[in-house]
Amino acid sequence: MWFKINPASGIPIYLQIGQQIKTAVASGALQPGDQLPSVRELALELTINPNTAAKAYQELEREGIITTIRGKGTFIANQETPLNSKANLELLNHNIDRLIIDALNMRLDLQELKELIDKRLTDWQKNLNREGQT
Amino acid sequence: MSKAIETRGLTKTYGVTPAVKNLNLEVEKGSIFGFLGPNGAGKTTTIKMLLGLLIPTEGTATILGLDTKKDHLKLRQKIGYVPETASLYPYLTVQEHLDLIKSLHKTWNETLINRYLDIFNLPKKQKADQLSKGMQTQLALLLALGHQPELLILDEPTAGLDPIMRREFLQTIISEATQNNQTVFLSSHVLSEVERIADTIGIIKHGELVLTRPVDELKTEEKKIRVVFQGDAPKHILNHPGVIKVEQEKRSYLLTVNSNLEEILVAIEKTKPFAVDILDLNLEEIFFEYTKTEGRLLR
Repeated sequence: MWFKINPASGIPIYLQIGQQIKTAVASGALQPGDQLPSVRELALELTINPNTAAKAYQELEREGIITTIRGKGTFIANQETPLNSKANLELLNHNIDRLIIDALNMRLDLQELKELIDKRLTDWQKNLNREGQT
Repeated sequence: MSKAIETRGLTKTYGVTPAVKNLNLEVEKGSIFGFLGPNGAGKTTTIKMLLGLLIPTEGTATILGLDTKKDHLKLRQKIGYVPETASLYPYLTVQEHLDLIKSLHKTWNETLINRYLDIFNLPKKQKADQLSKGMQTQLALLLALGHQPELLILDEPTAGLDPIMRREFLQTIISEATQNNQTVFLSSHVLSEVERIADTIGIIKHGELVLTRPVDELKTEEKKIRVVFQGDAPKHILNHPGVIKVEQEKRSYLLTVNSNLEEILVAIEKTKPFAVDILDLNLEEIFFEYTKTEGRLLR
């Protein structure tokens, strides 16, 4: 797992780490049972405060994304689909929120946005159907 | 006692000029504290008082539960200190320095020293004045770490190091000075490195502490909001608690916010503004915000 953090960003470092692990889990790059670096290793690799690395893991553990087995290490949680889809859902919601923010900034109201999305969905559905036929 | 450093009304006056004024500083055990301020703000004076090298004009400093005036000899065993310019003996070799400092301490971790002599590639038989600036700093760090201090105080230690040495220096601190509830007090001008490794930062200006806050909180709460309202700017937003500065340019307002960000955004959204933009601030921008002095070029 390669982490890329930006210390100068407005997002706290522990959240940046958390988001990257969640994205990796949602995309399947990290699978249940995969081992993560220890807090110490992670802190050293990123040259960050060990407290920050620990905080990132604590948050992820609270959300059920990872589990820590004493004496063995930290692993991606051995989760059933609901948990997996929870991470996916979060990612999707995040992207939808960004879309809504963009739309609001363009002075679109939510109904107009909904119509736009509906139209795109219909187009996509048509495309998918056509592909299904060939 | 969960504080590594606690000062109460700490003051140092040179003649009539106050260098440090009524400083109340608290540093949690097990944290990395970034101590920031422009040159001449009183950082080094503060550090010297913490070390018991300067007697405060007024106030007290308690370190690891011990008073810096009464117990400063006991504290020497518990504190590691890397000064701004490594104070080495030019005619002593690396090994002689290590032997000398070892003899002053009750405990000394030979394994740690040897490991880093290796990693830093420090020539044991070379005299200190023949070492590069970077190597002198690395040696000073080893001399401060050998007795495994409970508190490591660093006064602008990475000034003059190249980026590789600087990264190595920070990694050494992370692996050797943050275990077992050890505390690091780091004064630095390299804000990007402080941003990386500090839990909490304190900013000192003209001898006074103008801000102490956890870095994560700084990141999520200290923002600027650029907003264009439909009509005149509503007073209740400009005066909202947490809005610390309002700038105006034509119809566009720039609000500097240091708390209640969510609440303020909701209030702004209710006025149906033409445009809202949230601007993240990095540590450098926050630093300028708090240390700006009238009449200087920076704005």
